[in-house]
Amino acid sequence: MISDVLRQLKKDFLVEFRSRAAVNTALAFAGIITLSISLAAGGTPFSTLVQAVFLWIILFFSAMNGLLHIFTREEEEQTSLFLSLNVPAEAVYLAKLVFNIAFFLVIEMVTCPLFIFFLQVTVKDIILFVMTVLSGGLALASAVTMLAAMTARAGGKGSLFTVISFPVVLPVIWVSIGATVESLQGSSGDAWNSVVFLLAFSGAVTAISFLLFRYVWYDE
Amino acid sequence: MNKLSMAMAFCLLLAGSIVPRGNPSPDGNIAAIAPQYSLVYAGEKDIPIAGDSSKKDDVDDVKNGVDGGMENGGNGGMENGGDGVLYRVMAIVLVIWMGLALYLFRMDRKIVKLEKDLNER
Amino acid sequence: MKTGRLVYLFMPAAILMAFLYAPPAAGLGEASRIVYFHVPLAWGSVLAFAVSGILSIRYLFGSNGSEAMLDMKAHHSAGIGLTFTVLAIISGSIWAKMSWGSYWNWDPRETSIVILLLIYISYFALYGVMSDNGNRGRISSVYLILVMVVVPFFIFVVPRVYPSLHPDPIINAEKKMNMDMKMRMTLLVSAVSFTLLYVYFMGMRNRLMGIEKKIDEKIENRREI
Repeated sequence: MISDVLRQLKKDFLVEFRSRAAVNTALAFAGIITLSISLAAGGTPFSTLVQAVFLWIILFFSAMNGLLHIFTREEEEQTSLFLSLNVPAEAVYLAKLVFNIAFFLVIEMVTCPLFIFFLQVTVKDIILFVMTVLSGGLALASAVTMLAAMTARAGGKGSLFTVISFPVVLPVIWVSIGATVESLQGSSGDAWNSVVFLLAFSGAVTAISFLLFRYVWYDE
Repeated sequence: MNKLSMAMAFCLLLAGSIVPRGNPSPDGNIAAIAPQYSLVYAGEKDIPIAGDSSKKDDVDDVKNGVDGGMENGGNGGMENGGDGVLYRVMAIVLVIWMGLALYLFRMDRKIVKLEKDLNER
Repeated sequence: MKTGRLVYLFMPAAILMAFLYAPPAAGLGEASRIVYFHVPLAWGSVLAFAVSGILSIRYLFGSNGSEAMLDMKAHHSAGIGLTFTVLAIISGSIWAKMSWGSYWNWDPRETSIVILLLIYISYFALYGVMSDNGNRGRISSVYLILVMVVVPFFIFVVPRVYPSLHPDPIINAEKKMNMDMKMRMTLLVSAVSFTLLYVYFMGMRNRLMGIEKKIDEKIENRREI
Protein backbone atom coordinates (compact mmCIF):
# COMPACT_ATOMS: atom_id res chain seq x y z
CA MET A 1 0.00 0.00 0.00
CA ILE A 2 2.88 2.36 0.65
CA SER A 3 3.82 2.14 -3.00
CA ASP A 4 0.25 3.05 -3.95
CA VAL A 5 0.39 6.05 -1.68
CA LEU A 6 3.71 7.19 -3.05
CA ARG A 7 2.59 6.75 -6.61
CA GLN A 8 -0.57 8.75 -5.96
CA LEU A 9 1.43 11.46 -4.27
CA LYS A 10 3.80 11.75 -7.16
CA LYS A 11 0.91 11.95 -9.58
CA ASP A 12 -0.83 14.64 -7.55
CA PHE A 13 2.27 16.75 -7.21
CA LEU A 14 3.05 16.45 -10.88
CA VAL A 15 -0.45 17.37 -11.98
CA GLU A 16 -0.77 20.28 -9.63
CA PHE A 17 2.58 21.75 -10.43
CA ARG A 18 2.30 21.21 -14.13
CA SER A 19 -0.31 23.89 -14.50
CA ARG A 20 0.18 25.53 -11.10
CA ALA A 21 -3.08 27.37 -11.51
CA ALA A 22 -4.58 26.13 -8.30
CA VAL A 23 -1.46 26.73 -6.28
CA ASN A 24 -1.05 30.22 -7.65
CA THR A 25 -4.67 31.06 -6.96
CA ALA A 26 -4.43 29.89 -3.37
CA LEU A 27 -1.22 31.81 -2.76
CA ALA A 28 -2.61 34.92 -4.41
CA PHE A 29 -5.69 34.62 -2.22
CA ALA A 30 -3.63 34.49 0.95
CA GLY A 31 -1.48 37.39 -0.17
CA ILE A 32 -4.42 39.53 -1.14
CA ILE A 33 -6.17 39.11 2.18
CA THR A 34 -3.05 40.04 4.08
CA LEU A 35 -2.51 43.07 1.92
CA SER A 36 -6.11 44.21 2.21
CA ILE A 37 -6.01 44.02 5.98
CA SER A 38 -2.81 45.96 6.08
CA LEU A 39 -4.06 48.58 3.62
CA ALA A 40 -7.37 48.97 5.40
CA ALA A 41 -5.64 49.38 8.72
CA GLY A 42 -3.47 52.13 7.31
CA GLY A 43 -0.47 51.37 9.41
CA THR A 44 -2.21 51.33 12.78
CA PRO A 45 -0.48 48.89 15.07
CA PHE A 46 -2.78 46.19 16.35
CA SER A 47 -2.67 44.45 19.68
CA THR A 48 -1.16 40.98 19.71
CA LEU A 49 -4.57 39.38 20.10
CA VAL A 50 -5.90 41.11 17.00
CA GLN A 51 -2.78 40.18 15.05
CA ALA A 52 -3.12 36.54 16.03
CA VAL A 53 -6.79 36.55 15.12
CA PHE A 54 -6.02 38.04 11.72
CA LEU A 55 -3.33 35.49 11.04
CA TRP A 56 -5.59 32.55 11.72
CA ILE A 57 -8.53 34.04 9.85
CA ILE A 58 -6.30 34.49 6.83
CA LEU A 59 -5.05 30.93 7.13
CA PHE A 60 -8.54 29.54 7.65
CA PHE A 61 -9.97 31.19 4.58
CA SER A 62 -6.94 30.30 2.49
CA ALA A 63 -7.49 26.71 3.54
CA MET A 64 -11.16 26.91 2.62
CA ASN A 65 -10.17 28.27 -0.73
CA GLY A 66 -7.33 25.95 -1.58
CA LEU A 67 -7.69 22.59 0.13
CA LEU A 68 -10.81 21.56 -1.72
CA HIS A 69 -9.13 21.56 -5.08
CA ILE A 70 -7.42 18.21 -4.82
CA PHE A 71 -10.74 16.40 -4.70
CA THR A 72 -12.82 18.56 -6.99
CA ARG A 73 -10.18 18.20 -9.67
CA GLU A 74 -10.78 14.47 -9.60
CA GLU A 75 -14.51 15.02 -9.92
CA GLU A 76 -14.20 17.59 -12.69
CA GLU A 77 -11.78 15.61 -14.77
CA GLN A 78 -13.83 12.51 -14.06
CA THR A 79 -10.87 10.50 -12.95
CA SER A 80 -12.38 9.69 -9.58
CA LEU A 81 -14.20 6.59 -10.80
CA PHE A 82 -11.03 5.21 -12.30
CA LEU A 83 -9.17 6.02 -9.13
CA SER A 84 -11.70 4.36 -6.89
CA LEU A 85 -11.53 1.19 -8.93
CA ASN A 86 -7.79 0.88 -9.13
CA VAL A 87 -6.37 2.23 -5.92
CA PRO A 88 -7.53 1.25 -2.42
CA ALA A 89 -9.42 4.02 -0.64
CA GLU A 90 -6.93 4.24 2.21
CA ALA A 91 -4.08 4.86 -0.17
CA VAL A 92 -6.02 7.61 -1.88
CA TYR A 93 -6.78 9.19 1.47
CA LEU A 94 -3.19 9.12 2.66
CA ALA A 95 -1.91 10.57 -0.58
CA LYS A 96 -4.46 13.38 -0.56
CA LEU A 97 -3.78 14.04 3.10
CA VAL A 98 -0.06 14.38 2.61
CA PHE A 99 -0.64 16.59 -0.40
CA ASN A 100 -3.01 18.85 1.50
CA ILE A 101 -0.62 19.15 4.42
CA ALA A 102 2.23 20.04 2.10
CA PHE A 103 0.04 22.47 0.20
CA PHE A 104 -1.04 24.19 3.36
CA LEU A 105 2.52 24.40 4.61
CA VAL A 106 3.42 26.20 1.40
CA ILE A 107 0.52 28.58 1.93
CA GLU A 108 1.70 29.20 5.49
CA MET A 109 5.27 29.79 4.40
CA VAL A 110 4.05 32.50 2.08
CA THR A 111 1.46 33.99 4.41
CA CYS A 112 3.48 34.26 7.61
CA PRO A 113 6.31 36.43 6.29
CA LEU A 114 3.78 38.68 4.54
CA PHE A 115 1.83 38.86 7.76
CA ILE A 116 4.86 39.70 9.86
CA PHE A 117 6.04 42.24 7.36
CA PHE A 118 2.84 44.07 6.54
CA LEU A 119 1.15 44.06 9.92
CA GLN A 120 4.28 45.10 11.77
CA VAL A 121 4.34 42.08 13.98
CA THR A 122 7.16 41.43 16.37
CA VAL A 123 7.52 37.81 17.36
CA LYS A 124 9.07 37.45 20.77
CA ASP A 125 9.17 33.66 20.93
CA ILE A 126 10.04 32.49 17.46
CA ILE A 127 10.24 28.78 18.20
CA LEU A 128 6.79 28.75 19.74
CA PHE A 129 5.42 30.78 16.87
CA VAL A 130 6.83 28.42 14.27
CA MET A 131 5.65 25.35 16.17
CA THR A 132 2.19 26.83 16.60
CA VAL A 133 1.87 27.66 12.94
CA LEU A 134 3.15 24.24 11.93
CA SER A 135 1.00 22.21 14.30
CA GLY A 136 -2.03 24.37 13.71
CA GLY A 137 -1.55 23.98 9.99
CA LEU A 138 -1.19 20.23 10.39
CA ALA A 139 -4.40 20.07 12.43
CA LEU A 140 -6.29 22.26 9.98
CA ALA A 141 -5.19 20.38 6.89
CA SER A 142 -5.82 16.93 8.36
CA ALA A 143 -9.24 17.94 9.68
CA VAL A 144 -10.47 19.27 6.37
CA THR A 145 -9.13 16.65 3.97
CA MET A 146 -11.94 14.24 4.75
CA LEU A 147 -14.46 17.08 4.61
CA ALA A 148 -13.08 18.09 1.22
CA ALA A 149 -13.72 14.57 -0.03
CA MET A 150 -17.27 14.72 1.31
CA THR A 151 -17.90 18.09 -0.32
CA ALA A 152 -16.52 16.88 -3.62
CA ARG A 153 -18.77 13.84 -3.50
CA ALA A 154 -21.75 16.00 -2.56
CA GLY A 155 -21.45 18.31 -5.53
CA GLY A 156 -18.38 20.36 -4.84
CA LYS A 157 -19.72 23.79 -4.04
CA GLY A 158 -17.10 25.80 -2.21
CA SER A 159 -19.40 27.42 0.31
CA LEU A 160 -20.59 24.03 1.51
CA PHE A 161 -16.99 23.21 2.34
CA THR A 162 -16.64 26.29 4.53
CA VAL A 163 -19.94 25.62 6.27
CA ILE A 164 -19.20 22.03 7.18
CA SER A 165 -15.58 22.71 8.06
CA PHE A 166 -16.21 25.46 10.52
CA PRO A 167 -17.45 23.45 13.54
CA VAL A 168 -14.69 20.91 13.07
CA VAL A 169 -11.94 23.49 12.69
CA LEU A 170 -13.09 25.82 15.47
CA PRO A 171 -11.07 24.19 18.31
CA VAL A 172 -7.96 24.36 16.13
CA ILE A 173 -8.43 28.05 15.47
CA TRP A 174 -9.15 28.86 19.09
CA VAL A 175 -6.17 27.02 20.46
CA SER A 176 -3.88 28.28 17.72
CA ILE A 177 -4.89 31.88 18.32
CA GLY A 178 -4.21 31.47 22.02
CA ALA A 179 -0.81 29.97 21.45
CA THR A 180 0.06 32.57 18.80
CA VAL A 181 -0.79 35.38 21.20
CA GLU A 182 1.54 33.83 23.75
CA SER A 183 4.30 33.55 21.20
CA LEU A 184 3.87 37.15 20.08
CA GLN A 185 3.97 38.36 23.65
CA GLY A 186 6.81 36.08 24.63
CA SER A 187 5.05 34.66 27.67
CA SER A 188 5.11 31.01 26.72
CA GLY A 189 4.17 29.35 29.98
CA ASP A 190 1.67 26.66 29.16
CA ALA A 191 1.35 27.53 25.49
CA TRP A 192 3.23 24.36 24.68
CA ASN A 193 0.19 22.48 25.91
CA SER A 194 -1.63 24.07 23.02
CA VAL A 195 0.88 22.63 20.58
CA VAL A 196 0.39 19.21 22.12
CA PHE A 197 -3.38 19.71 21.89
CA LEU A 198 -3.11 20.53 18.20
CA LEU A 199 -0.97 17.49 17.51
CA ALA A 200 -3.39 15.29 19.43
CA PHE A 201 -6.24 16.78 17.46
CA SER A 202 -4.48 16.03 14.18
CA GLY A 203 -3.89 12.48 15.27
CA ALA A 204 -7.44 11.85 16.34
CA VAL A 205 -9.02 13.37 13.26
CA THR A 206 -6.60 11.63 10.91
CA ALA A 207 -7.30 8.30 12.56
CA ILE A 208 -11.06 8.61 12.35
CA SER A 209 -10.89 9.93 8.79
CA PHE A 210 -8.69 7.03 7.79
CA LEU A 211 -11.26 4.61 9.15
CA LEU A 212 -14.24 6.30 7.57
CA PHE A 213 -12.86 7.40 4.22
CA ARG A 214 -13.97 4.34 2.33
CA TYR A 215 -17.61 5.07 3.18
CA VAL A 216 -17.28 8.45 1.56
CA TRP A 217 -15.14 7.44 -1.37
CA TYR A 218 -16.96 4.42 -2.71
CA ASP A 219 -20.32 4.74 -4.39
CA GLU A 220 -22.49 1.84 -3.36
CA MET B 1 -59.93 11.08 23.93
CA ASN B 2 -60.41 8.92 26.97
CA LYS B 3 -56.73 8.48 27.64
CA LEU B 4 -56.13 12.17 27.41
CA SER B 5 -58.91 13.14 29.76
CA MET B 6 -57.77 10.53 32.25
CA ALA B 7 -54.27 11.95 32.05
CA MET B 8 -55.49 15.49 32.62
CA ALA B 9 -57.63 14.42 35.54
CA PHE B 10 -54.65 12.67 37.06
CA CYS B 11 -52.57 15.81 36.67
CA LEU B 12 -55.18 17.96 38.32
CA LEU B 13 -55.28 15.57 41.24
CA LEU B 14 -51.52 15.68 41.44
CA ALA B 15 -51.59 19.46 41.42
CA GLY B 16 -54.26 19.50 44.03
CA SER B 17 -52.26 17.37 46.36
CA ILE B 18 -49.01 19.23 46.11
CA VAL B 19 -50.01 22.87 45.72
CA PRO B 20 -50.42 23.57 49.46
CA ARG B 21 -46.65 23.50 49.71
CA GLY B 22 -46.30 26.08 46.96
CA ASN B 23 -45.68 29.81 47.21
CA PRO B 24 -45.80 31.34 50.65
CA SER B 25 -48.00 34.29 51.42
CA PRO B 26 -47.94 36.71 54.34
CA ASP B 27 -51.00 35.32 56.02
CA GLY B 28 -50.74 31.73 54.82
CA ASN B 29 -54.07 31.62 53.07
CA ILE B 30 -53.74 30.52 49.48
CA ALA B 31 -57.26 31.50 48.62
CA ALA B 32 -56.50 35.10 49.53
CA ILE B 33 -53.69 35.57 47.07
CA ALA B 34 -54.93 33.28 44.34
CA PRO B 35 -58.68 33.20 44.22
CA GLN B 36 -58.69 31.06 41.10
CA TYR B 37 -57.28 28.29 43.20
CA SER B 38 -60.09 28.31 45.66
CA LEU B 39 -61.84 26.06 43.14
CA VAL B 40 -59.48 23.28 44.05
CA TYR B 41 -59.21 24.20 47.65
CA ALA B 42 -62.85 24.48 48.48
CA GLY B 43 -63.28 23.11 51.93
CA GLU B 44 -59.69 23.33 53.08
CA LYS B 45 -59.20 25.70 55.89
CA ASP B 46 -55.71 25.74 57.36
CA ILE B 47 -53.27 25.20 54.57
CA PRO B 48 -49.72 24.67 55.82
CA ILE B 49 -47.14 26.60 53.86
CA ALA B 50 -43.64 25.65 52.85
CA GLY B 51 -43.34 22.32 54.60
CA ASP B 52 -41.15 22.67 57.66
CA SER B 53 -40.77 26.28 58.55
CA SER B 54 -38.08 25.47 61.06
CA LYS B 55 -35.50 25.24 58.28
CA LYS B 56 -34.46 28.55 56.81
CA ASP B 57 -34.65 28.02 53.09
CA ASP B 58 -34.26 30.27 50.08
CA VAL B 59 -37.81 31.48 50.37
CA ASP B 60 -37.14 33.27 53.63
CA ASP B 61 -34.46 35.32 51.92
CA VAL B 62 -36.95 36.42 49.32
CA LYS B 63 -39.49 37.33 51.94
CA ASN B 64 -36.93 39.34 53.88
CA GLY B 65 -36.14 41.45 50.86
CA VAL B 66 -32.81 40.08 49.68
CA ASP B 67 -32.19 41.23 46.15
CA GLY B 68 -34.32 39.12 43.88
CA GLY B 69 -32.13 39.21 40.83
CA MET B 70 -31.67 41.87 38.17
CA GLU B 71 -29.25 44.74 38.59
CA ASN B 72 -29.84 47.73 40.86
CA GLY B 73 -31.87 45.88 43.43
CA GLY B 74 -34.58 45.22 40.95
CA ASN B 75 -37.45 42.87 41.24
CA GLY B 76 -36.13 39.69 39.77
CA GLY B 77 -39.22 37.66 40.08
CA MET B 78 -42.16 39.90 40.01
CA GLU B 79 -43.13 38.95 43.52
CA ASN B 80 -44.74 42.29 44.06
CA GLY B 81 -45.42 42.82 40.38
CA GLY B 82 -48.91 41.50 40.76
CA ASP B 83 -50.29 38.73 42.83
CA GLY B 84 -51.20 35.86 40.66
CA VAL B 85 -48.87 36.80 37.81
CA LEU B 86 -47.16 33.51 38.38
CA TYR B 87 -50.43 31.65 38.06
CA ARG B 88 -51.27 33.50 34.91
CA VAL B 89 -47.94 32.54 33.37
CA MET B 90 -48.51 28.98 34.43
CA ALA B 91 -51.95 29.01 32.89
CA ILE B 92 -50.51 30.26 29.61
CA VAL B 93 -47.85 27.58 29.61
CA LEU B 94 -50.47 24.95 30.34
CA VAL B 95 -52.62 26.19 27.50
CA ILE B 96 -49.66 26.05 25.13
CA TRP B 97 -48.93 22.54 26.30
CA MET B 98 -52.51 21.46 25.87
CA GLY B 99 -52.52 22.75 22.31
CA LEU B 100 -49.33 20.87 21.57
CA ALA B 101 -50.64 17.74 23.28
CA LEU B 102 -53.84 17.88 21.26
CA TYR B 103 -51.85 18.13 18.04
CA LEU B 104 -49.57 15.28 19.05
CA PHE B 105 -52.48 13.12 20.06
CA ARG B 106 -54.26 13.62 16.74
CA MET B 107 -51.03 12.87 14.87
CA ASP B 108 -50.54 9.73 16.93
CA ARG B 109 -54.02 8.48 16.19
CA LYS B 110 -53.61 9.12 12.46
CA ILE B 111 -50.38 7.14 12.43
CA VAL B 112 -51.95 4.24 14.32
CA LYS B 113 -54.84 4.21 11.85
CA LEU B 114 -52.44 4.21 8.87
CA GLU B 115 -50.43 1.38 10.32
CA LYS B 116 -53.54 -0.68 10.92
CA ASP B 117 -54.79 -0.04 7.39
CA LEU B 118 -51.48 -1.05 5.87
CA ASN B 119 -51.22 -4.20 7.88
CA GLU B 120 -54.69 -5.29 7.00
CA ARG B 121 -54.40 -4.81 3.25
CA MET C 1 -42.66 1.95 21.70
CA LYS C 2 -45.46 3.26 23.83
CA THR C 3 -43.24 5.07 26.34
CA GLY C 4 -43.52 8.28 24.38
CA ARG C 5 -47.16 8.59 25.36
CA LEU C 6 -46.16 8.99 28.99
CA VAL C 7 -45.30 12.55 28.04
CA TYR C 8 -49.01 13.40 28.37
CA LEU C 9 -48.65 12.57 32.02
CA PHE C 10 -45.26 13.95 32.80
CA MET C 11 -45.28 17.28 31.00
CA PRO C 12 -48.32 18.79 32.75
CA ALA C 13 -46.93 17.46 36.01
CA ALA C 14 -43.61 19.14 35.26
CA ILE C 15 -45.30 22.43 34.39
CA LEU C 16 -47.38 22.40 37.53
CA MET C 17 -44.46 21.44 39.70
CA ALA C 18 -42.25 24.11 38.14
CA PHE C 19 -44.70 26.86 38.95
CA LEU C 20 -46.27 25.70 42.15
CA TYR C 21 -44.20 23.10 43.92
CA ALA C 22 -40.68 24.42 43.56
CA PRO C 23 -39.76 27.44 45.65
CA PRO C 24 -38.20 30.48 43.99
CA ALA C 25 -34.45 30.69 44.17
CA ALA C 26 -32.70 33.24 46.34
CA GLY C 27 -30.99 35.94 44.36
CA LEU C 28 -32.83 35.09 41.19
CA GLY C 29 -36.41 35.17 42.28
CA GLU C 30 -39.38 33.75 40.53
CA ALA C 31 -37.69 34.16 37.16
CA SER C 32 -35.52 31.21 38.06
CA ARG C 33 -38.42 28.94 37.24
CA ILE C 34 -37.38 29.14 33.63
CA VAL C 35 -34.55 26.78 34.55
CA TYR C 36 -37.00 23.89 34.69
CA PHE C 37 -37.57 24.35 30.98
CA HIS C 38 -34.21 25.67 29.87
CA VAL C 39 -32.00 22.95 31.33
CA PRO C 40 -34.07 20.00 30.08
CA LEU C 41 -34.14 21.54 26.60
CA ALA C 42 -30.35 21.79 26.58
CA TRP C 43 -30.09 18.24 27.92
CA GLY C 44 -32.51 17.08 25.22
CA SER C 45 -30.43 18.64 22.49
CA VAL C 46 -27.29 16.88 23.71
CA LEU C 47 -29.22 13.63 23.97
CA ALA C 48 -30.50 14.02 20.42
CA PHE C 49 -26.96 14.66 19.19
CA ALA C 50 -25.62 11.58 20.96
CA VAL C 51 -28.43 9.42 19.63
CA SER C 52 -27.89 10.58 16.07
CA GLY C 53 -24.18 9.85 16.41
CA ILE C 54 -24.81 6.36 17.72
CA LEU C 55 -27.34 5.69 14.98
CA SER C 56 -24.81 6.83 12.40
CA ILE C 57 -22.21 4.44 13.76
CA ARG C 58 -24.70 1.60 13.69
CA TYR C 59 -25.73 2.56 10.18
CA LEU C 60 -22.20 2.38 8.83
CA PHE C 61 -20.84 -0.52 10.84
CA GLY C 62 -23.92 -2.50 11.76
CA SER C 63 -25.31 -5.44 9.87
CA ASN C 64 -28.71 -4.09 8.86
CA GLY C 65 -28.07 -0.40 8.84
CA SER C 66 -29.50 0.46 5.48
CA GLU C 67 -32.54 -1.78 5.89
CA ALA C 68 -33.50 -0.22 9.17
CA MET C 69 -32.95 3.19 7.54
CA LEU C 70 -30.84 4.27 10.46
CA ASP C 71 -29.42 7.19 8.54
CA MET C 72 -32.91 8.64 8.25
CA LYS C 73 -33.47 8.04 11.94
CA ALA C 74 -30.28 9.91 12.68
CA HIS C 75 -31.62 12.72 10.52
CA HIS C 76 -34.89 12.77 12.50
CA SER C 77 -33.00 12.88 15.76
CA ALA C 78 -30.89 15.75 14.49
CA GLY C 79 -34.04 17.64 13.51
CA ILE C 80 -35.49 17.33 16.98
CA GLY C 81 -32.12 18.22 18.47
CA LEU C 82 -31.92 21.38 16.37
CA THR C 83 -35.35 22.48 17.58
CA PHE C 84 -34.41 21.84 21.20
CA THR C 85 -31.14 23.70 20.76
CA VAL C 86 -32.81 26.79 19.33
CA LEU C 87 -35.39 26.77 22.12
CA ALA C 88 -32.68 26.32 24.74
CA ILE C 89 -30.73 29.27 23.36
CA ILE C 90 -33.82 31.47 23.24
CA SER C 91 -34.92 30.56 26.77
CA GLY C 92 -31.38 30.91 28.05
CA SER C 93 -30.91 34.37 26.61
CA ILE C 94 -34.26 35.55 27.95
CA TRP C 95 -33.24 34.32 31.37
CA ALA C 96 -29.85 35.97 31.00
CA LYS C 97 -31.52 39.26 30.17
CA MET C 98 -33.67 39.03 33.27
CA SER C 99 -30.88 37.96 35.59
CA TRP C 100 -27.85 39.80 34.28
CA GLY C 101 -29.28 42.47 32.05
CA SER C 102 -27.84 41.36 28.71
CA TYR C 103 -29.04 38.79 26.25
CA TRP C 104 -25.72 37.19 25.40
CA ASN C 105 -22.46 36.89 27.27
CA TRP C 106 -20.32 34.20 25.66
CA ASP C 107 -19.97 32.16 28.82
CA PRO C 108 -18.59 28.66 28.37
CA ARG C 109 -22.05 27.15 28.57
CA GLU C 110 -23.59 29.55 26.12
CA THR C 111 -20.67 29.03 23.77
CA SER C 112 -21.01 25.26 23.86
CA ILE C 113 -24.66 25.38 23.00
CA VAL C 114 -23.93 27.72 20.08
CA ILE C 115 -21.30 25.28 18.86
CA LEU C 116 -23.89 22.52 19.02
CA LEU C 117 -26.20 24.73 16.97
CA LEU C 118 -23.45 25.26 14.40
CA ILE C 119 -22.88 21.53 14.17
CA TYR C 120 -26.56 20.90 13.56
CA ILE C 121 -26.74 23.63 10.94
CA SER C 122 -23.72 22.26 9.11
CA TYR C 123 -25.21 18.78 9.18
CA PHE C 124 -28.44 20.03 7.67
CA ALA C 125 -26.58 22.05 5.06
CA LEU C 126 -24.69 18.91 4.03
CA TYR C 127 -27.85 16.81 4.05
CA GLY C 128 -29.80 19.37 2.06
CA VAL C 129 -27.26 19.71 -0.72
CA MET C 130 -27.36 15.99 -1.43
CA SER C 131 -31.07 15.57 -1.88
CA ASP C 132 -30.65 13.67 -5.14
CA ASN C 133 -27.50 11.84 -4.22
CA GLY C 134 -27.67 8.17 -3.35
CA ASN C 135 -24.74 8.46 -1.00
CA ARG C 136 -26.47 10.99 1.17
CA GLY C 137 -27.01 8.65 4.09
CA ARG C 138 -23.44 7.49 4.23
CA ILE C 139 -21.80 10.87 3.81
CA SER C 140 -23.99 12.54 6.44
CA SER C 141 -23.39 9.66 8.83
CA VAL C 142 -19.65 10.02 8.37
CA TYR C 143 -19.96 13.72 9.11
CA LEU C 144 -21.82 13.06 12.33
CA ILE C 145 -19.23 10.58 13.50
CA LEU C 146 -16.38 12.96 12.67
CA VAL C 147 -18.06 15.73 14.61
CA MET C 148 -18.66 13.40 17.54
CA VAL C 149 -14.94 12.75 17.67
CA VAL C 150 -14.21 16.49 17.66
CA VAL C 151 -16.68 17.40 20.41
CA PRO C 152 -14.55 16.12 23.34
CA PHE C 153 -11.81 18.47 22.19
CA PHE C 154 -14.26 21.32 22.54
CA ILE C 155 -14.89 20.44 26.13
CA PHE C 156 -11.22 21.06 26.86
CA VAL C 157 -10.93 24.19 24.80
CA VAL C 158 -14.01 26.23 25.67
CA PRO C 159 -13.30 26.88 29.36
CA ARG C 160 -9.78 27.97 28.47
CA VAL C 161 -10.83 30.39 25.78
CA TYR C 162 -13.23 32.40 27.92
CA PRO C 163 -11.76 32.38 31.39
CA SER C 164 -11.48 36.10 31.68
CA LEU C 165 -15.19 36.76 31.44
CA HIS C 166 -17.23 37.04 34.57
CA PRO C 167 -17.73 33.66 36.19
CA ASP C 168 -20.83 31.98 35.04
CA PRO C 169 -23.43 32.74 37.67
CA ILE C 170 -25.76 30.19 36.24
CA ILE C 171 -23.48 27.36 37.27
CA ASN C 172 -23.01 28.69 40.77
CA ALA C 173 -26.62 29.55 41.17
CA GLU C 174 -27.59 26.15 39.93
CA LYS C 175 -25.31 24.51 42.42
CA LYS C 176 -26.93 26.59 45.10
CA MET C 177 -30.38 25.89 43.81
CA ASN C 178 -29.87 22.23 43.47
CA MET C 179 -29.31 21.89 47.15
CA ASP C 180 -33.01 22.26 47.62
CA MET C 181 -34.81 18.95 47.43
CA LYS C 182 -37.95 20.28 45.82
CA MET C 183 -36.01 21.98 43.08
CA ARG C 184 -34.10 18.85 42.33
CA MET C 185 -37.30 16.86 42.14
CA THR C 186 -38.90 19.36 39.81
CA LEU C 187 -35.84 19.47 37.62
CA LEU C 188 -35.81 15.69 37.46
CA VAL C 189 -39.46 15.48 36.52
CA SER C 190 -38.98 18.17 33.91
CA ALA C 191 -35.91 16.44 32.45
CA VAL C 192 -37.83 13.17 32.26
CA SER C 193 -40.76 14.85 30.56
CA PHE C 194 -38.59 16.52 27.91
CA THR C 195 -36.79 13.26 27.31
CA LEU C 196 -40.16 11.61 26.83
CA LEU C 197 -41.13 14.39 24.45
CA TYR C 198 -38.01 13.67 22.43
CA VAL C 199 -38.77 9.94 22.43
CA TYR C 200 -42.34 10.65 21.37
CA PHE C 201 -41.31 12.90 18.48
CA MET C 202 -38.70 10.39 17.34
CA GLY C 203 -41.16 7.56 17.56
CA MET C 204 -43.70 9.39 15.46
CA ARG C 205 -41.26 10.41 12.75
CA ASN C 206 -39.80 6.93 12.58
CA ARG C 207 -43.22 5.34 12.36
CA LEU C 208 -44.18 7.73 9.58
CA MET C 209 -41.02 6.78 7.74
CA GLY C 210 -41.91 3.11 8.16
CA ILE C 211 -45.35 3.74 6.75
CA GLU C 212 -43.91 5.53 3.73
CA LYS C 213 -41.56 2.65 3.14
CA LYS C 214 -44.40 0.12 3.32
CA ILE C 215 -46.49 2.13 0.90
CA ASP C 216 -43.55 2.30 -1.52
CA GLU C 217 -43.07 -1.45 -1.22
CA LYS C 218 -46.72 -2.10 -1.89
CA ILE C 219 -46.61 0.10 -4.96
CA GLU C 220 -43.54 -1.78 -6.16
CA ASN C 221 -45.23 -5.13 -5.59
CA ARG C 222 -48.27 -4.04 -7.44
CA ARG C 223 -46.21 -2.81 -10.32
CA GLU C 224 -44.41 -6.12 -10.60
CA ILE C 225 -47.65 -8.02 -10.64
